[in-house]
Formats: sequence, structure tokens, C-alpha cells
Amino acid sequence: MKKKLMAQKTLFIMIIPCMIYTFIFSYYPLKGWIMAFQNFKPAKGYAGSKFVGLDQFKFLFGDIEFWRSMRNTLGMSLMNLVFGTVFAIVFALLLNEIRSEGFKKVTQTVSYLPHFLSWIIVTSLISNMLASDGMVNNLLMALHITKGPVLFLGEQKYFWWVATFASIWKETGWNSIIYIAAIAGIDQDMYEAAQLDGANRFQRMWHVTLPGIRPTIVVLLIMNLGWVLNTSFEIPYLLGGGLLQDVSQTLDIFVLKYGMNIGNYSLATAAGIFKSVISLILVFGTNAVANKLGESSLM
Amino acid sequence: MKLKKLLAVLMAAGMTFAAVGCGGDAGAGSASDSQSGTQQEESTEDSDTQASDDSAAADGEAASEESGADSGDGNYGGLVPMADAGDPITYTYFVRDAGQDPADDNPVISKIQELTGVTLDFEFLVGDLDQKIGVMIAGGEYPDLIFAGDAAPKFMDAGAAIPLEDYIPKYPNLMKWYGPSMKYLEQADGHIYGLPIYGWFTNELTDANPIFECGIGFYMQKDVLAEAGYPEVRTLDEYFGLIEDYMEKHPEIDGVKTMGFEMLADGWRNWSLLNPAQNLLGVSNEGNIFVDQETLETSFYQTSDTAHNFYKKLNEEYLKGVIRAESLTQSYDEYIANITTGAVLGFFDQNWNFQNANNLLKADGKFERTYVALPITDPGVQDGYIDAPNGLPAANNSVMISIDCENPDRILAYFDWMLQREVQDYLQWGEEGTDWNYSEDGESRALTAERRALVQDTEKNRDQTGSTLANYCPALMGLYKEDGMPVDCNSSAAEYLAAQGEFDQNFLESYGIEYPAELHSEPVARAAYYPVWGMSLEDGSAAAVTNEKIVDVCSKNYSKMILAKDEAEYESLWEAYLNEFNALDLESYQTEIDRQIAEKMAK
Amino acid sequence: MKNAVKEKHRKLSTSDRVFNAVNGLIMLFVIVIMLYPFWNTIAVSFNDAQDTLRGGITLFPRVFSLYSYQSVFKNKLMATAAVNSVLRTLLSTVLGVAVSSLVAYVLSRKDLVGKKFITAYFLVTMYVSAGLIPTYFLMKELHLLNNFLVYIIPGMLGVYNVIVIKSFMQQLPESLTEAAMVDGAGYFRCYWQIVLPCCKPVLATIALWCAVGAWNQWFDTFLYASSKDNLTTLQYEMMKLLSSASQSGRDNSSMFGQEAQVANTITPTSIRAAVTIVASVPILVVYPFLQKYFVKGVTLGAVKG
Repeated sequence: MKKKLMAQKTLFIMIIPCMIYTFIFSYYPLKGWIMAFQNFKPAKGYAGSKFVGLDQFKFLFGDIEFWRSMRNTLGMSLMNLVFGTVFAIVFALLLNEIRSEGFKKVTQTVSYLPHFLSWIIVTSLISNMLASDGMVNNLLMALHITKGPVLFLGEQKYFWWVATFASIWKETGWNSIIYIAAIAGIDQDMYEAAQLDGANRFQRMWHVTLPGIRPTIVVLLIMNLGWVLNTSFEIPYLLGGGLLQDVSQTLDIFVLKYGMNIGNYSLATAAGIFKSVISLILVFGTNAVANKLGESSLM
Repeated sequence: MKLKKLLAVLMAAGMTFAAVGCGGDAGAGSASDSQSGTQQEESTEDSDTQASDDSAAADGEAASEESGADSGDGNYGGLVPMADAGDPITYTYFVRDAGQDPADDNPVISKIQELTGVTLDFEFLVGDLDQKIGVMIAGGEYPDLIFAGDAAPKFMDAGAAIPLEDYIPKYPNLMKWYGPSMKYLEQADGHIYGLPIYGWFTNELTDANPIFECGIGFYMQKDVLAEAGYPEVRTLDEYFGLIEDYMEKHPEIDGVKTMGFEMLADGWRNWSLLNPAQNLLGVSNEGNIFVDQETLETSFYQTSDTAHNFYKKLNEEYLKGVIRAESLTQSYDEYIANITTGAVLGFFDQNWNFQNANNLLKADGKFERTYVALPITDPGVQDGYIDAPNGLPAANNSVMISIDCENPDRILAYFDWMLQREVQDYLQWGEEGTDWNYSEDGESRALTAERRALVQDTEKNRDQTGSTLANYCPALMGLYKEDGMPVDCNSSAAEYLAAQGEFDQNFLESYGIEYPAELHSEPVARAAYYPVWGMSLEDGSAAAVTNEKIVDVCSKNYSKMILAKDEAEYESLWEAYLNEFNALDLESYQTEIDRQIAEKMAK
Repeated sequence: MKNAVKEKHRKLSTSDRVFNAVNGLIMLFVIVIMLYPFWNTIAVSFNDAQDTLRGGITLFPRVFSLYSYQSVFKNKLMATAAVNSVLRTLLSTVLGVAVSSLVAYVLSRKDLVGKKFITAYFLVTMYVSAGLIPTYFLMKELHLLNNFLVYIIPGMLGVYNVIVIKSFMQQLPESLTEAAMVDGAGYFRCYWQIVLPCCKPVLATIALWCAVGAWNQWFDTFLYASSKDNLTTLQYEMMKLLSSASQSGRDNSSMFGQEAQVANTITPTSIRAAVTIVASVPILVVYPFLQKYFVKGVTLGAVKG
């Protein structure tokens, strides 16, 4: 052991400063979690604020709105995770099959443009398109799929889908970059070998490309799964609310309303701790499962 | 908090009260030492003109010509340098509003800077106010000056502001302006932490200016009224009756399908959904509770018969096709775009919110398609949309001096200097001749055409006039008691009327009124507690939580009820809503409001 | 043998052609729908701000105007802001890639002592956050408030990036480094000379993430450096402009003189569009430079040989 340590001296010289850095910036400020058990007032600081035990957590868990927000958050996040990943991978695969370098570059560049637009711009375009005289309804009616216009933004059952496709529209190109990079990392010899074996385009995609990026897919999925409780703030905020509140209010919006907006930092912290716990369980849990299945994993 | 903050702005803006000053002028040129002599002469001339117009003011102004030093009665001699003007000092100033710094070469601000030696370094809000304030207070480091609006109590509680009650009497102009209302500025601990910079505020120096337009309520397109022969419209039935008739006659307006009544429930812009019931009950924009103006008893208007009938009426109108289902989910941009077509007949809103659409209709020459607010109430109830100025300052709308400010005296002297009439005139009107002229009878002022164009352009107004200083420093408001002259152009009746087009003049004539606000009853003088939205609830308290929940529960359920398929469904939705609403912790909120009303009334 | 391959090639070419055609069509469709929002934003940004309120701008401006851009560039802090943004982006990118790849390399060593613990130690930080106020306290304690370093140091090590690079490195054949180690190369030389060059595609991705992230950041300016004009960033100035434009609707409202003299009033929609274009075009340019690392895969054979 000692010998091994000595041999790995360089590695530790490399990693220890980074661990110290991480301690300072990530672990040390966690002492602020004490706020979750207080009725924290910025003016009084940690020392002067009153301790209230688990009151903040009781408020959270005792509110039916909180659980409804949980459901909405999980629903939208999972849909987003699944469809977002699938679309990004499929896009990366198809892009990889383009022979013309110029066309490939243009497509790739264009596809990531929407990422740079703010949600407020994207959602306003979406609500224009989904309006009763908007593009989508005109198309549906022209194709005789529906008789009258569909109120996409006025009915609860459509909201999660609208939110999911909004993210896909905005982020597919951006999300696919990492897969494109992973594909670029696949050893070119593998393709030649497959070709010699007589594999066609689909077979090559299926047997070479996909397995080649599989570790990346699994690793990203596990990491992103840890963030299922952090949904984008903007979509529900900009497209939901009011009539759609029952299906659009997410955890973050709930916390914003009853935490930040009314100066209750403690509640926001309590919710943060709750989210952290869930995230860590999810990440380390799925990671263990992935390990068991022999998939690549985070550790 | 959000809602309150907003309401505060709405109230101030909606009532066409002055938030934009009409300060100095581009022609003044950049200030320099060589110019100050000339400036002094000019200001003397100014004084002379005024003195000849008004003998009451003459004495004071004659004295002012002697020197630029503090004569002890608050007369610094007008626009002449302060004693320590040669010793420049900069104060940092955090403002809770979004905004931009005025241009460096702003002639008015440069001149004031030169005369006083004081520079204000503004930091306008970017991002979320609550987050900003949270870290500011937690970090315990403050700018020299703070204007936080409704968030002011957070700074006061944190001990961030210095008490001013001992300072104010030392400054004659501040004392004249704030002195009579000092007891209303006192916080629970007996201290005064800020100088109010806007709100309804008059005393012996000024009177309230007339209210020209009602800033909130049920708006109707003027042509609907014109075609119906300028009827008096007071109830919901009359209101929607007119809209239905007009819709039937004009299924399209300028090629666009007519929209009878539009709603807007986009995020925080939700008042068209939440507020009308309280207005129907005869109060104005009170807050989340109804206060009986006689007995001061509180009750929840959200569950009243009035609310029940109002949303039922909306439901009926929806079923008739007067209200589009989509209008409940449309975004603000779509709402404004709809109004700009001129095909919308009515809506419930606040003036400032649709002002841009109104402006565009005027730019298109469609004056008959612009809107006027009507005094709609329950039958037999007197309308109370318009607040009369009650002479009480709102302590929250104050500039505070922070504990980190090293030289409070100098900034207070600056504020004191600014409150001189000559300085106020210069800041809010500009200079006679270049910016404005007296009318022939000498009783009113009119802006020059160039100046009018200038103050209507947000950017130019900011970069070339003193509006930023007038907005964020103590400034006078209303009409001068001594001669009835408006303090600023927004308070000027002459300016208001000069801005009306031909159609509007006819419109007013046909109704036999001078200003649109006269369609309403006389402005209502409010009790000292008013309004509920101005009360601060303790952060994170049960009352604050309920305050938020009420908005949530109502906005969700009201929308559903309006879109009910028939009367039976409406009634069952109403029942469900009642259950959800009554399940809230209403008591904590109501008790807190009752307590605060009692406390304020006791003063 | 060669002939057989050729023949297969020829036989497949019909299906290949169909595939290429369909794929090309799909990509064209993608281009159209992905380009539209950006194109539309450009059209709105060049449209007269007042006229934009009417809605309905799609592909081209209806009333051409440069006013929105003028109000963006009129800002006296633009130059300072641009310099700060470029600087912070460059530094964050270089440091971000260097630090993350270093940690990733260490964690990718199979025989690292305490590997599980060290990985978990980093991993946990991705999912815990102290919150707004405690983080502010930390910056204050470290004297990072109103300090340019607050843009660089706190975001230097992205654990997400580390894991992504690590998983990429783990896929490299072990033979790659083993040989070098046998030849007496140390860990650092292995990292620098052998592993890093093989990771170009993933490093290019991380560089892009870091650059875009740093460039788009305005929140740290808002919280930690807003009182110092010389530390302002482009995104912060843009936010400032945008929020003041959104508020100008309110300011105007107090003007009763609602005559037709409103031509130059700014309204948020067009300003927002112009701000978006001004703020995003400089960073968009970065991508094509990085693209060459994606387009053709690395050939490990060359390295191995």
C-alpha cells in the first residue's frame, strides 16, 4: 500500500490541491444549511436567528401543493430526460452519416443556435405557433386531423408535452454536441472492420457507433438523473400558471413563491437539502445498478 | 412581496402621477466654471419674472439674490453654488427599479453637480430584488443611499438606515416639506428612517393636482360609447350590453374579427382576473382583502356574492363568444398585439400596462379606437376607483441614508438645496423660453414643442433632463399653494388638455366633462391605514404565506370557472373553489391586516 | 478480397442512396425549424420597436429600423463590458479545461489509491448547494467581492466536465499508456503527451461548454460585482438594458400626453431581440473553430503505432 502510494505521488500532487479547492468552494459553505433549521433573517445572521427545528420541513411536506409540484417536476423532468436524450442521440447519429462535410458543418452549427436564445423568446414563439390561428393549428386543420383549433396552452393534458417539445426544440442541437464528440472518438478501424464484414449503414450504426458512445450515454444519463428535481424554471413560469397551475407548478417555483418571494431563506434551504438528498440517492443508486449490470459508471 | 411591489408602481403610475419629471434642458449646455456666473444672472431673471407674477413669492426671492450661502431659512439663493460646492463628493445610491444611468453629458445633472459638488452614483436593479436585498443585508455592506420601496422595512429592521428625526429639523426646506407629516413616517421603534420621494403627499407647500384620468378599471373603446350616443355606463350588464350590441353590428373591425372583452392572466399581470370584484364593491385597488370604508371591518371579497356573480357573468360572456377562451392563456405580447389592431372592445386593466398599445393606435390615427375607464360597480354602489390625495406620505417610498454613509449632513444639505422652488422648477420644467413659456394670462405654463417631444422619449428624457434626480431625490409634488402653478408638467391641466386630439375633445364635450376622470365619482379620501397592499407582512410569516396562496388559488379557479361549459358546471366549480379558498389559513392573514389597520388608525 | 468489398459497396448503393436522400431531407427540415427562431429574432431586432408590438413579425422586418441596436451600443460601458467578458471567457475556458482534464486523468487511473472515495468526494458536490446567502458569505470571506477573480475562480472545476472527460479517457485502450509507463514516462508526461492528444473531441466539447457558460453568465456580476462599473460584463449590461426597457413602459405611462409623438420609445421585444443578437454572435463564432475536432474522428491506430 505504502509503496503504491509512493508510486502514485505525482497523482496525489495533482489531485490534492483540487480536493482542497473543492472543499473550500463546495463543502465549507454547506455550514449555511443550518439555516434550514432556523427562521433565518439576513440581518441577524446564523448566530442570531431563531432555531425552529424541523418546522420548515414540516411546512414543505405538509403542503399538498408541494407534492403536486413534486409530481409535475418529476413528470416533466423524466419526459425531458428521455426524449431529450433520444432526440440528441438520433440527431448525432444521423448527422454522422452525412457525407458532405460542408452540409454537416452547417447543419450542426444551425442546430445549436436556439440554445443561445432566452426562454422568453422561445416561449413567445411557441405560444404564437400554438395559438388557435397559429401555424400548428392551421396545419392540423388543413390536414383534417382536427375540426377546430386545439387550445394547446389552455388544457392541462397538453402542457407536459408542450414543455418537453419546447426543450427539445431549443436544446437538441446543443445536447448532441457531446455525442458528436463521442462518435468522433470512436476508432475508425472499427468501421473498416465492420464494412469488411459486410455490415450496412444501419448495422454499422447499431453495432459500431451506438456501442461506441454507449458509455457516454450511460454516464450522462446517471448524472442528469440526479438533477430531475431541478427543472427549467422558465417554461412553467412563462407558459404555465393560472389555468395550468395544477400541472405546471414545479418544485422550484413552489420554493420561489413561498421562500424567496416572501423572504423565507430557510424554506429555500430546506427544499435545497431535500433535493440534495433525493439527488444523491438517485445518482449513487443508479450508479450501483449500472456497475452491477457491467455498464460504465461514474466511479 | 412581488405583487405589492407591483401594485405600488401601478398606483403611482396608474393615477397619472408624476414619475417622470420634466427637468432641465439640452440647451443649457455643459456646465463649467465660466458659466456659473451667467447661470446666476439667468436665475435672477427667472426670479424676477416670477416675482412680478406673484407677489407672495417675491419677498423670499429678493432675499435669495444676495448670496449663495445658506441663509438659515432654507433659501440658498436658488441655482447658485452651495458653500462647499468646490469640494466634490460622491454618494453611491441603490435604486430598487430597473433603469439606466443618465448620460455623462446630461446638461441638467452636470449643472446640479457643479453647483453642489455632489455626484450621485446610481446602481439600478438588474435581476431579482429580493435576492439582491438578501445578500446586501446578509453581507452588511450598503451603498450610501437606498431607495427600496416596499422592501424598505427589511433595511430598517436590519439596522441599515440611520434615524433622521434629529436631522430633519436642521434643514429648513426638508422641515417644511416633511415636518408636518413626521408622525406618519415614524416606524414602530419611534425612529424615522427615510424621506419619501413619491406617493400622495401634500401639505401647506402644495395642493394636490387634479386627477385627469382614472388609471384602473373596466376600459371601453371610445367608439362603442360614441356609437351608442355617449351613454352613462355604471353596471356590468350595461357594460357588456354595449359590447354585445357593437359586436353584432361590427363583426369585424378593419378586417380583424372583433374581440369583445379580453382577459390577461400572464404571470404577475393577473389583475384583470383577480381584482375586479373589489372594484365592483366600490373600493379601488386595495389588496387581497376588502375593507369596509365605514366600519373598517375586513372580509374576503374573493368569496362574496359579487365575485360569484362577476365570474358567472364572465362565464356567460364566454359562452356567448364575447370572451375568447384563448384570452385566458394569452401572453402579454399577444394581448398588446390584439389591442393594437383596434378590434378589442373592452378589458379590465391598469393604464400603464396597455399604454404602448394605446400610443400605437394614436400613431395610426385611430383615436376612436382608444380607451376610457368606466365607473363600473354593483348596482347601487358608488364607484371608488380613484383615490383622493390624503396628504399622508408612504414611509416605504423613501430614500434612506445607510449606516455606511460617511457624510449624512452633506447629502441632506443637498436634498435641502434641491427643494428650493428655483431648483425644482429647473429640474422639473427646465428653463423658461427654451423649455416652456407662460400662457398669455400668466396663469399656466406650456412646454415648448421640442420639450414635449423630449420628455415623451424615455431615453432623451433620461439623458437630457433632470428626471433621474427628480425621481429619486426628495421633490415637491402637486400645485404650489402660493400661486397654483404645477410643480411639474405631469400635474399641469394645461399640458394635459394640450395633448388631447380632436376626437378626444369631442368625446369629452359630448359627455360634458373636462377630463375623462370626471366620468367617475369624486376621488375618495381614504382612511389613514390605506391601502392594504402597502402593508408589509413579516418575512416567512403565516400571513405572508396566505397572501401568496390566495393569489394562487384564485387565479387557478377563476380561469376554470370562466371557461365552464354551462351554469351547472359553473356552480359546481364555484363550490369547489369555495372549499379550497376557505381551507386556507385565512385567519392569520386577516388578523394581521386587522392589527395593522388598527395600529395605523390609532395615529 | 478487395473486389468483394467493392461489389458489396455497389450492391448496397441503392439503399445507401435512399438513406442519404432521406437523411438529407431530415437534416434540411432540422435546419429550417432550428434556424427559424434565430432568424425571427434577427428580423424582430431590425424592426421598429413600436411596430413590433403589433406582433406577426416572422421572416423579415416590417418597418426597418436600427434604433434597437443604437440603444444597445449607446451604452458607455459597452467597451469595458466586452473586454471583461472576453477576458473572463478566455481565462475560464483555459483554466476550466486544464483543471477538469487533470482531475479526470487522475480519476481515470484504474489503480488509484482511494479512487472510490475521491470520485465520490467530487461527485457529491454536483448535487449539493449551499444556497445564495452562504455562497455570498464565502465570496466575502475570500475577498472575492468586487474582484475580477470572482469570475474565474469559483467556476474553475466543473465536476460534470470531469466525469465526461474521465469516461472518455477510460475508453482509451490501456495499452496506450502502459507502454509509455514501461518506457519510464511519469504520470504527468502520460497525461500531457499521450492521453490529452487523444481526447481532443471531448476537450473541444468541454471548452465549448466552459466558454458558453462563462460568456452567458451575468448572475455573478449581479451578486458580487454590481457596484463596480469597471467589472461589468456584457451580459450584465444587456440585462440592465433589457430590464430598463421593460420598465420604460411604466415610466411612459405616467405621461398623459398620449399624442402620436411616441416613435422613439423603446419597447422590450425589439430591444430583447437586439440584445440577444449582440450578446450571442461573438460566442457563436467560437463553434466553427472547434468543429474540426468533431468532424473527423481520431484514429487511435496512429497513436498506437
